[in-house]
Amino acid sequence: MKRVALLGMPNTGKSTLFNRLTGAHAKVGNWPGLTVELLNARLIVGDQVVRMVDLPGIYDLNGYSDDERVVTQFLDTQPPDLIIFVLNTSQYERQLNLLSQVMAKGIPMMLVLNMVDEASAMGIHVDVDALSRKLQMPIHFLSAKYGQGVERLQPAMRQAFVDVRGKPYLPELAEVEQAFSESINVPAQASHATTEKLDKVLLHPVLGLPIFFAVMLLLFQGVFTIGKPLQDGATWLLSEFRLMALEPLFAHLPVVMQGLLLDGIYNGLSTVASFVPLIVLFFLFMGIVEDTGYLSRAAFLMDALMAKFGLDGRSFVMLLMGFGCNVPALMGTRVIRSKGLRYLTMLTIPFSLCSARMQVFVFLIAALFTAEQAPWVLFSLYVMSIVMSIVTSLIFKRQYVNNDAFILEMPPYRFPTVRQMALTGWQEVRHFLNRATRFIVIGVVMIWVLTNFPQGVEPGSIDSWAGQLGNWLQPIFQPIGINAELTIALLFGFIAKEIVIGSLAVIYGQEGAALVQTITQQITWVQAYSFMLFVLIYTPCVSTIATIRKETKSVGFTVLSVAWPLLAAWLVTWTFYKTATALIG
Amino acid sequence: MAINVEGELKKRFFALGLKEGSHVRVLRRAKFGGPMHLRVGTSELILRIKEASCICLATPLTSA
Repeated sequence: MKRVALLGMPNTGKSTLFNRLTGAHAKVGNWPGLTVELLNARLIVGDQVVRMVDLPGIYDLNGYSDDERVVTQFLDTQPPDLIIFVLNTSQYERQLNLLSQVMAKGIPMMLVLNMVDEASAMGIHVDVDALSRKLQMPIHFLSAKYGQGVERLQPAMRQAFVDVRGKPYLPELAEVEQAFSESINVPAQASHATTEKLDKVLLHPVLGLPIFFAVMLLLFQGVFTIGKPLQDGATWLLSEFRLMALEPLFAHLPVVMQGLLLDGIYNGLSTVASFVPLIVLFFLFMGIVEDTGYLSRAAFLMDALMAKFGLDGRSFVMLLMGFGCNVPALMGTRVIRSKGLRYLTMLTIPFSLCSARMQVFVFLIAALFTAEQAPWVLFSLYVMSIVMSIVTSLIFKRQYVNNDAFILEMPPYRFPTVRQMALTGWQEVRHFLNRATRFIVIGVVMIWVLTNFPQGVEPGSIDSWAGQLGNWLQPIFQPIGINAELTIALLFGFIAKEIVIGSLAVIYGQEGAALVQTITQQITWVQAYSFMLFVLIYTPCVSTIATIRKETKSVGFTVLSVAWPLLAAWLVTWTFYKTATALIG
Repeated sequence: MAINVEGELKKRFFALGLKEGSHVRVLRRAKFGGPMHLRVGTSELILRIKEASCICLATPLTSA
């Protein structure tokens, strides 16, 4: 199979082009011979199947960041049949060094001059034919974002595979620079006028930070205002589906099978599934903020403050990304070159209140607090999440010292297209389905077995296996207000937080409104808040642990990243529970 | 403009368009000793004062 690699600097639209070419079929997977995961997809080019890989965006082939090492290793150990080098046209000058480094590898290449839309708006003119002759490679001037000119890439790739190559052209940097300066015409005053105007406001010395926090608050508010009715609708639909379709369908099955399918798998899964609209919306909004380039501004605004905690602006951005999902945020730390700073950031990310934990909180808060209290309770948990990150970095900053320079690119503001947003939403749904089949089904089935056996016991009662296990662990959890049922949920929540609400449905053998009512009767708000604190602070999921292990290749660090949050979770919850019960009396 | 850096940092400056002879404009500085926001050619970047102090300007800087 022919292999094509996309290569370029960050913010050149490389991944947008990858998505444009491969559709939504890409998957992150291990690449043979490399220990890190690369985004890749199969693609039909003419009459053959081609594997296309999206290499991480890098600045220099001879750099020392993990991303740069990955790319160099990839090119040296398994050279692809074709490299498509993506260049952001309006900032071409500073990308030529990387281009000439890659050309020196002697691998067949094709050059994509991306962002024709921005370049045209700035009055930049390119003589593509002349440049192509001088660099001796096919060149395409296109816009990956709007799709303009992308259709020419497929035939060009096919042509590149059959072209007989002579001696590879290995120019010096000066030759490449000359070829460009002779073929590209950039007006003297080229700049992004809109970006300048927006930055005047958004990076305002006094208003910048308040505006940033207002934007984040608005984002969360928007997610719940739009998402809550959708979630209620989904809950209702899923309950009706059980009543109208599943119960009659399974009526003839043995009682045990009915229990497993309906009270086990269906209740568990549907409770989790009802949150999908909320989660998709959340990632959609986060995706928009990310794609616009506002996160780099957040790094600028927050860097001075983060420096006091031993972190930097990039760490802050990763913590924000962690609010979506901790796993990509952990992988995002690869751009940090200082091992100390990278490890410290990785230690703080798991405290970011990710969307899976948000589900647990939204669910329990709706059950135990009034509509007026609810937003404040959730807000307090987000505050707690940030406090835990800060406390952790303050404790560990002497062990993990930052010696990295802080230099970051500020891309111009860009607004994602509807197509890009739809892709983000779809990827989230797929991600959920993936987790659902891998962890959640297995988790809820195991919980159902534990709560319904040995045979003949009252489901979820103290005599069931789950009840016995919960009881056995009570010496640890009782002092922090967590009862036997909730202990079981916590135990399985270690695998993935989605299992927590799924397991509550299974443990109580109910779903929808009935489940909420039962929980309201069984636990007090203090117990619920203790439980939420524990869920917030202890290990987010096994995927996070696996990612930390893979990224650091250090068992010791991985153990620390599990043990410290567990200890912290217990201490914080204990303090809260004792104080709250003492105050209430 | 001259740059007094070596090795790894020089490469990163270079990759972001900062090299000897290029024109730099300071757009703004963050509060509380935070980073500087610069424009070099058509690119913009932010860097901490520690790194910015490696850059020597031949002509007085124009502040926005």
